[in-house]
Amino acid sequence: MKTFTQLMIVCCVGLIAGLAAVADVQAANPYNLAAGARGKLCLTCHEDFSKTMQKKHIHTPLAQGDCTGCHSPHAADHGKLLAADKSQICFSCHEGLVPEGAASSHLAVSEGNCVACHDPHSSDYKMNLIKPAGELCLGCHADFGLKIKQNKFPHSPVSDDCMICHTPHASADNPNLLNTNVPELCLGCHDADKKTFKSQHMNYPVEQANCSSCHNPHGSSTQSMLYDNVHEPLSKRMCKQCHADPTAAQPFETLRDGFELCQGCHYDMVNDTFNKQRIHWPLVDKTGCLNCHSPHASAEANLMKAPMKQVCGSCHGDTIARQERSLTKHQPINDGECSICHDPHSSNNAFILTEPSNINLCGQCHDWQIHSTHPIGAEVVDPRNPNLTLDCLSCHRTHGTEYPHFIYYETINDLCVQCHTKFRR
Amino acid sequence: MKKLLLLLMVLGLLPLPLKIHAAQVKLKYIGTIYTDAAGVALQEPAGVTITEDKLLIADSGGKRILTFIYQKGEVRPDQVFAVPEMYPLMVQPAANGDLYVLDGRARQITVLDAAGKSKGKFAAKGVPSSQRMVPRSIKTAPDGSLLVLDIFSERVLQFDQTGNFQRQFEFPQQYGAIADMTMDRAGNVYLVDSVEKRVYIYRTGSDEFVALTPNMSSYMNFPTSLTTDNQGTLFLVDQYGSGLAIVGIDGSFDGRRLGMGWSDSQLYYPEQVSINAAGDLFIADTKNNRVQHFSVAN
Repeated sequence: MKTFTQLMIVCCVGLIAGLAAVADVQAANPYNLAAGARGKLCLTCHEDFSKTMQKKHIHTPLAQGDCTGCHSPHAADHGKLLAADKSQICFSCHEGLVPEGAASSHLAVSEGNCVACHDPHSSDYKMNLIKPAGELCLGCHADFGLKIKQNKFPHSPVSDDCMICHTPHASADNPNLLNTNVPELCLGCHDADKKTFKSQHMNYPVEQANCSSCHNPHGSSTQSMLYDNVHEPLSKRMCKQCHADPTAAQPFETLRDGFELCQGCHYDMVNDTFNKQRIHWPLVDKTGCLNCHSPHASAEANLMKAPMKQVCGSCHGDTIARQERSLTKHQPINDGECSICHDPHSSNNAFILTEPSNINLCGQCHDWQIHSTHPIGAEVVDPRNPNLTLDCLSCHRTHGTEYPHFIYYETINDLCVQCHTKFRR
Repeated sequence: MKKLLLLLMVLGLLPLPLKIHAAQVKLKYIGTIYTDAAGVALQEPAGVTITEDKLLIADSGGKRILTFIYQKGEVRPDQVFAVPEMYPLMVQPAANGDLYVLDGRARQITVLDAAGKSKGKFAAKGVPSSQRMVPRSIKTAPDGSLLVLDIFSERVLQFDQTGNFQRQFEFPQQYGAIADMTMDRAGNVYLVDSVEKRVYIYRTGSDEFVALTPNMSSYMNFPTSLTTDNQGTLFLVDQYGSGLAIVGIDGSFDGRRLGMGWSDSQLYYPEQVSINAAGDLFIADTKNNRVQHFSVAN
C-alpha cells in the first residue's frame, strides 16, 4: 500500500511537470508556427532572395531570419505587406536619427524615404547603401556633380567622400548637415598658424570667421576656391575698404552700417534707388544690402547670397508657397526670376513693378490680344470699383491661385459674373 | 480663509470676459471714401488715421493729404493739401494742429501746418545715437507724443511735441522685418513683424520687447500695420493676404475679417488700419484706390 502511494505521488508530480512543459512550449510558440516561419520559411517561396542573401551586408532582421520584423505575414494596411507605413517602419528600430530640434536634417530622412539611400534587405556597400557613398549623394545632388566636374580648383574631400564634412541623417547643432560648424570643420585640415595662411588673408583673424563666406567648399573655377563671383574689394585684397584694421579690437567690424557702407562705391546706384517713390524697405534697415547680397563672394550672379527665389522667399515665403500650390505656374516665378517683373531695390510703380502699367508688363511675354479680347486699359472702368480700371490683375493673380490660369475663382463663369452680374445664377 | 478662496476664484475668472470679448469682435461695413469733395479719385492711399474729430488720409499716388471732419461716426470732406514733392505714406496729427507726414521718397518726416504749408523736416533733438534714422512708420501716442519706427537703428523713438527726444525702445534681439508699431492707452508699445508674422510687446515698466504672439503664419501672409482699441484688442492689416486679423489682449489669434476683392467691404493689398475710441475703424485699401470705414461692435 505504501509503495502504491509513493507511485501515485511520483505520477502526479510527473504529470504536473509534463503539463508545465507543454504550457511553456505553447507560450513560446502560441500560434504553433512551423519551424522558420518568421523568415527562413519565406525564402522557400521568395526564391529570388537567394541572391539578396549572398550580398556582403545583410539587414540584421533578415540575417536573423526574421522577415516579420518588418512584414506582416498575412495581411497589412501598407504596401509590400509592411507592418507600418514605409515612412515610419525604419524608425521603429532606428530611433533618434533626427535629434529633437536638429539644426538641419536630410530631406530624405525627414520624409521617411530611407530607401532612397538604403536597401532594406542587403547590399554590397556598407550601411546597406544602394550605391557607393559619393556616387549615391550625387544621384540626387546632380547639380553639384556637374559643377564639381567643371571646377578648375577642386576641394579634395569632395571627390573623396561627402561624409568627411557632412553627416547623412541630421545634425543637432550645425547647418547644412555639417559634422562640425565652420570654421572648426575647416581648421581640422587647414592650419591657421601657417605664415602663408595669415598673409593670404591680409592678417585678418579669419580662423574666427565663416570660411564659406568667401570660399566655395565644393570647389570653384576661381583661384583660392573663391566663389565664382567675387566682390572687387576682395579680389583686390582691399579688406580695409569695408572693415576695420586687422589689428583692431573688432577687426571684422564694418566701417559703416547698412547701405551707408555700400553707398561709398555704389553711389550712383544708391542715388537712383533712393530717388524713387517706393523703396524695398529691407534696403534701408540695419542689415541693408546684405539682406540679399553677399559682401565677399557668391556662386550667384550679382553677388546674390542665394538663388533669387530663395532670397525673395526668405521674406515672401507666402508668395512662393502660393506659386507652389498654384494649379498654373507662372514661369518667371518658377524659374526664380522675380526681377523680371519687380525691381528689387525701388520703383515708382505699384508692387515695385518694373513697368507703370501691368498690361504693358504682362504684354512683354503674353500677347494678350491673342489670348483674350476682353476690354482692358485706362478707359475701361472696373464695374466693381469706380476707382479702378480693368487690367490683367483684375482677373489673374500673377503669383497663382488654387484655380487654373491663376484666376481668382473656381470657374470662368464665377469670374465673369463678378462684373456681369445680370448673368449670375 | 474663505475670503482668500473667494478672492482666488474671482481672480481666476477675470481673464474669462477678456477672451469672450475678443471672440465677439464684429465688423460692420459703414462706407467707402473714393474721392475728395471735388470728386478727385484717391490713388493708392497707403495711410489713414482716425482721431476723435478728424480723419486723415495719405493719398500716396495722388501726392495729397486729405482731411475729413469726423463727427458721431460720420465723415465729411474738409481740406486737401497737395504735396507734389513727396510720396506720402502716413499722416499723423500733432497736438498743436500740425500734421506729421511720412514721405516714402525721402524717407523722412515732414511737418505741415494746419493750412497744409510745409514747415520742413521734423527736427529730432537729443537722439542718443548719432546713427541715421530711417522712419518706417510714425504714430501719435495717446499722450500726444510722436513715435517713430526707426528700422535703420532698430528702435522705436519717442519725441515730445517740440521734437525733443524722450525715450527709445530697442527692437527685440531676433526678428524678421518690423513694419509698424502702436502704443495703447496704458503705454504698452507693440511691434508687428511681417516676416515672422508675430506681434511683440514692450510692457509699461519693462525694459525689452517680448513676443506677445507665436508665429502666426497659419493665419496671415504679411501683416504690415497694426492698431489697438480701448479694450486692447489688436487689429492687423494682412497686406498680401488682403484681410484684417484680430489678436486678443493676451496674444491669442481671434480670427480674420474681410477678404480679397474689389467690391465694397473687400480689400486688395491694404496697407494701414486705424481705429478711434468710438470703435470706428478705417482701412487704407491701397490697391483698391480707396479708404473703407467699418465700425467695431463688441
